[in-house]
Amino acid sequence: MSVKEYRPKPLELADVELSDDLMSLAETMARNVHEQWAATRIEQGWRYGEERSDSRKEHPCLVPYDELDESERVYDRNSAISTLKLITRLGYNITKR
Amino acid sequence: MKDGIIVNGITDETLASYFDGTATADECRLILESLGESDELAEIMSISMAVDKDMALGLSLGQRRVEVIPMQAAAAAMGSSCACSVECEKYILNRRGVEYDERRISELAQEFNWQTELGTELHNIGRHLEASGLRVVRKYKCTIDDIVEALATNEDVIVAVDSTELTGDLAKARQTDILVGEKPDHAVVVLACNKLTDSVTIFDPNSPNPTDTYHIEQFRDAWEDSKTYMVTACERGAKPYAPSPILLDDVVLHSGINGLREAIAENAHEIWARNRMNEGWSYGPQRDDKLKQTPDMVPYAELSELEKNYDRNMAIDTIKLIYKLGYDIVKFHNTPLYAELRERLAHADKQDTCPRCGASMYDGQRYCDRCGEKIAK
Repeated sequence: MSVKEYRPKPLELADVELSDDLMSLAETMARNVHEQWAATRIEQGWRYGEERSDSRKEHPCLVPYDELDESERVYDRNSAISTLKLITRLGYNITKR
Repeated sequence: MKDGIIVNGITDETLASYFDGTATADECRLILESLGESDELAEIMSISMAVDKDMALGLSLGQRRVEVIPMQAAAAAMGSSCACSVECEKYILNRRGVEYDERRISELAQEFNWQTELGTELHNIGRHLEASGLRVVRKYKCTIDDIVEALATNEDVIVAVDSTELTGDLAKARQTDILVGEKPDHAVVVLACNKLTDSVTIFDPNSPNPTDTYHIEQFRDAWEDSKTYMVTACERGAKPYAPSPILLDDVVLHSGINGLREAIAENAHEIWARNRMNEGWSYGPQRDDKLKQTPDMVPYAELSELEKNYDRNMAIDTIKLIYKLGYDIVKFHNTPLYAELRERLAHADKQDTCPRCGASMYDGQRYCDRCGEKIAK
């Protein structure tokens, strides 16, 4: 087995700025990512439960986006923001049609 | 350099006809072949491509792929957000006895682009209801039965329709379907749907009547233009949660986006791995939640194709969603013409010299750019 230690290095994106327009796009993306995740889980037989249980297939996040804990929404929102920043950093323009 | 000649005898006029699409095949070939030789030509071409891109973006404004319920022109002129979808939402809030603040509605509409000068995008119908604490579900491909069921369980229903087909002359509406394609341009609240009498009663923000009743077939025709898009609202907790992700099946991506897909997928893996590592996870040949070990704690390149595909699919869905929400991801340097230019530049090392003046030339060049000598092949 390789002894070389793997050090994950996500791109540094703190200095990339997003327009207000893209920030609101990120919010819509975060919502949809949650909807998509929830749809998949429910398809696989999961349902809402106060605590996560893999054996009972219950998850506390199986509620509409607006009813999620703010910390969960911050997580979804930040993921969407990083993706948009990454795309911008790679030299692409995200422009409204 | 002769006046007006950029390189190889290519003049401003030749370029102009090239951009107009009226250049001869020989002229086109000459321009493309000369791209590697002249910085000036390359610059003109790239500026022109940038302009083309802007024009293409400008033109596509008129034919947005995201469907929009347009604002009433008069309302837009008054500077308030009286779009039909907002009127429907206010109607529902009133009916439910939920208090709202007109000014707050305008602020939200602007802040989050729920309503723009073009109108309300279908997936933004119901945002004010959500902001007021109602649970909102949006779905395409619904049926009359879905409406009946929603109304029976005390849900409010907004549908997107083609207003001409709903209220106007059916023959004329069919004609516009053929001419301009099917397009929803209006939102109404469905109040009752009776399959015995074949009638649908609606609140139409554009109508002077408190309610209007239509034949079910006429309603269906008008509704089908939005792919039978329905937005339902109910109290939170009144119904089990049914997620409704935006459908992405109809988004077709061009292959030029593969590089971006791979970059997003790889970075997502790096973020995931760093988060896991911070939580104390490390590499192990088998996943073990107790020991906090996972076989995926390796560089992206060493992941199995199965794992890579998981990251790739997530990346593709993200890109599709961005397109679907009305945005273009443009890397200007991705155009075919730019690729051609890069190709030419890459082969610029196979050089030749002009038999007349000795200036260095690119292999296959047809005119010397110092003396204008035509090179016989």
